[in-house]
Amino acid sequence: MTEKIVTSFFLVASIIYLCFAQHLTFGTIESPRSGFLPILAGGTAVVVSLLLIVKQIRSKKSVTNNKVDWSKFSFILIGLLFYITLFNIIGYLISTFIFLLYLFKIADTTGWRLPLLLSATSSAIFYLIFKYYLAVTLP
Amino acid sequence: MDTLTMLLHGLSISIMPVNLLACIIGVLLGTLVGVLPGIDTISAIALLLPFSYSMDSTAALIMFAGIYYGSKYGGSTTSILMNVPGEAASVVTCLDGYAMAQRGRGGAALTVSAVGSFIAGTLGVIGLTLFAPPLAQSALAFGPPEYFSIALIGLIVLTKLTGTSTLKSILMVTIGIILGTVGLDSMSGISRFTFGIDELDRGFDLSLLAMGIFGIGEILTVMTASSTQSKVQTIRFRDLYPTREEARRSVVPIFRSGILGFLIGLLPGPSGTTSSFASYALEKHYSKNPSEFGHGAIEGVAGPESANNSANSATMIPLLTLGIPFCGGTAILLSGFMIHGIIPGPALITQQPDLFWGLIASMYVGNILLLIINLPLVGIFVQLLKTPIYILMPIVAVLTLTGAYTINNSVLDLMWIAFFGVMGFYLRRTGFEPAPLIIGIVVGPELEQGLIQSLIICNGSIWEFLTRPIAGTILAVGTAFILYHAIHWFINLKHQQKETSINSNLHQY
Amino acid sequence: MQTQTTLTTKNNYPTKPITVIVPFSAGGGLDLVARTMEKNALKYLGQPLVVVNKPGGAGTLGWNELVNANPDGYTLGISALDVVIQPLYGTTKYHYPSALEPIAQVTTLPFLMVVPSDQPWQDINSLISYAKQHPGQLKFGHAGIGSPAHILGETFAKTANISLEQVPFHGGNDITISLLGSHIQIGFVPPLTVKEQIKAGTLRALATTGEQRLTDPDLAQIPTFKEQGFDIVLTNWYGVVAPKELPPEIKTKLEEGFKTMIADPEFKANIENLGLQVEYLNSDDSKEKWISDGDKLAKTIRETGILEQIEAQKS
Repeated sequence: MTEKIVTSFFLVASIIYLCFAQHLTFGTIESPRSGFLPILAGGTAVVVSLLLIVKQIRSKKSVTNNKVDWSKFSFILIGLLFYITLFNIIGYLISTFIFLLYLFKIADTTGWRLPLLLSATSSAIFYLIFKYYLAVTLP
Repeated sequence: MDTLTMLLHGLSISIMPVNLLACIIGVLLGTLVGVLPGIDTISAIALLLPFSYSMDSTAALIMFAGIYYGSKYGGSTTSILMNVPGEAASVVTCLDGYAMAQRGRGGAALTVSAVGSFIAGTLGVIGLTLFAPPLAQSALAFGPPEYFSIALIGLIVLTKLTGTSTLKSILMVTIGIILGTVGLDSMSGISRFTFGIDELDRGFDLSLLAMGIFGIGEILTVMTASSTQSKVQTIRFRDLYPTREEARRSVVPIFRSGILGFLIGLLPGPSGTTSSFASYALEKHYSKNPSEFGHGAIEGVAGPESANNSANSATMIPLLTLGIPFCGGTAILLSGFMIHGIIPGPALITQQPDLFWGLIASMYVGNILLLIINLPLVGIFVQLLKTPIYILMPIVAVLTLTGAYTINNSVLDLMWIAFFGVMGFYLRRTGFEPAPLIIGIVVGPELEQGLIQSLIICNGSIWEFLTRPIAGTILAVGTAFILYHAIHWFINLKHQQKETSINSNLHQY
Repeated sequence: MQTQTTLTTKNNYPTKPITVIVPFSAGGGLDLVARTMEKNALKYLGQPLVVVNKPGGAGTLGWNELVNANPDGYTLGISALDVVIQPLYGTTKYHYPSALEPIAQVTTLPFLMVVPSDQPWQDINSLISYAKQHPGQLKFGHAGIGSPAHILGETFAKTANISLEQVPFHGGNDITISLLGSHIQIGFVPPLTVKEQIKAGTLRALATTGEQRLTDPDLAQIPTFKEQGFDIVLTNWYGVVAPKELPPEIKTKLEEGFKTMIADPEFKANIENLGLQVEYLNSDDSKEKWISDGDKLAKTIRETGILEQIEAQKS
């Protein structure tokens, strides 16, 4: 099922892409313009994803997958979004510390002392490496 | 003989304490830059430029060069251990390197990659020492039509690199090409598919995409697996190094891919990435058991890691003999040179022999240093695998995100890496192999640029294009190769169908 | 309270390092200028400069960010001729000449018209007569549609009344590679990119686009277009810019600081080493130059059909 959804996603995405590609000039084979490759690539993507969907509907076997803990999945994504939002607001060091702690707790690290210690040291070490040794500008 | 004398003279310069120290600092930094995902040679050297102002120019150049070739050693580390490519050139190492690590052969993969890097890197420097000027001249015979021919054949050959479903691979390549068209297009002067979003003008960064799809995708997969396998791998000392069998199987790929990478490195473009992919295809083609590829074939680590190192050495040739950088990494090296008042060009060898030969000799020294640094590191890195997943993965996630941020200093990039991470997660669950996507985004722009330039150069005539000696030969050989494989595949298919029909007939009775 | 802090900061400015946005990737001419200033900043500005590369979109991404930056003097940027050119195509988010404030012009650099030295043309006129006999045969390389080099090529073709085919490349280096392989016949490139090739005799420069000849002894023999009777003058320049509405005290401090830095012979030597020429202009003169360059180029891109070429890519 997921396989069909992913393929349909690509189908829809490439149809939208192809529509926007229509605004670019195709040119000719002798003198290709900005729309040449996009239209060819978009067209190919639409055809191939259609073929794939047909093939997937006709075949009965589905890819067997490991079970996924979807609540963890969504928690990680929510945490990630928060991290990215907070990144520029409260600075690298604090946001990274919070995010790391959050991830450790999601990953079922037991206790508080170890995660706290690890988050503090790793965010500090990354800050040090990137900001001071590699002179990257971090917020 | 003359070359040898000069090289020995260079060696005496490169082992002067200050230069040797510069070389050590350079390769250490290079290793660090290579290991850390995201941060690449270009930004590393750029960031270090201010600190080099007070240094002696030869020492500074030796240091910059050290960072440049040193970074190729570490690149494979995170690919092998955690499936997070440290840079685009190491994407292909994920395929078999990570599979090896999961089987407990991570140490062997790291060792082979370090040794392969050393041998191929040194091969590259030997090529640089002996043939630099003539090679640079012959590389110039390749113009846009030739690049286009190589890109086209490469795209077709590399599409069927991995995975089981040809249709899925084709779709991934096309999606890669599509992603490659986003951004301000200098060929036409307009922005494409940016929807008015400013930051999209820059286009998708290759490393960002690779780190998202492979790195974050892997982290999501591992962290959300319900049956969190908390079993810690036990690694014995002899697991750190390759078995006799593994070593034997790596020798030929290291030399073969070393030469291939060197040749690719002579051409303009992202040769680190293309050479590693091309080497993977080559090794799979020559392997006695191609079905092992993707499940931890040692050749799939030895080949690409060797190829991108010798490609790296080869990119120094046009820089030192023509004074023209053929790729981003050597462009920043050129800046480093110029800040120190050295302008490389055809006259460099004769006018500044001390600097030229000192630099070349330092590359031999540096490669040996890198081997000495990297072999013990294998042991340390493998220890990391003993760390429980629930501790390792969050740290790797943050490291990857930090690295991604440093590419453009952009927070929006972090959103993209998250998006590509989710995409990578789903791709993996549904049997789509993401490696061809990376090929699409690398080769796509080359293809488009090559086509537009070639057709203008050939006066809009496809015939004139096909009759250019080099371009025509490349296309002809490529087509023959593809046809051969297509026929081969078709005959196999027929066989299989016959067998399955016989089988099903048998079942009916 | 708030006003008081701003007042003291204004008086003590600068109290912390100053960020300089370089809107191109590390390693370009622009980046090198920024880094040369970084090398000298502490002495003249009292605080170090921190160079940040924000590449992409032909410089527009970095400049957009600068437009939106806080005008407190702690975020500056490097500008180039493209600040004037890009808005002319109507695709940029801001009109930079009115959204940014020049602090100083640091350098100027003309372009060179170069040909491979195995081609027979020793001067522009022999090139033109060849082009007239072989229409459509000559191709010139430039660094992207709408770039200064593209404008130059089209202007040259129009002034000389010949037809030249344009081949877009990603930058001066790619053009040089194709010139050396004789895949294209003409290139418009910054002097720095081809200086070593000209010295080695693999490329031949037929003209420079400056008002005067270059001062570099290796390149001083190249005549200008004007000397040869062609009215083609286009020089790229690099400068320091700030967001609009900079407090006057801070602006004066910056102007003074950069002026003395640029006047330092050591700084001049560093810049010349990079193949660039120092040419200082203060804020007001830079502003004037922006306007005059903008007017001139607006006319050129219309007359040479470049605007049309870009618009023809979209339907």
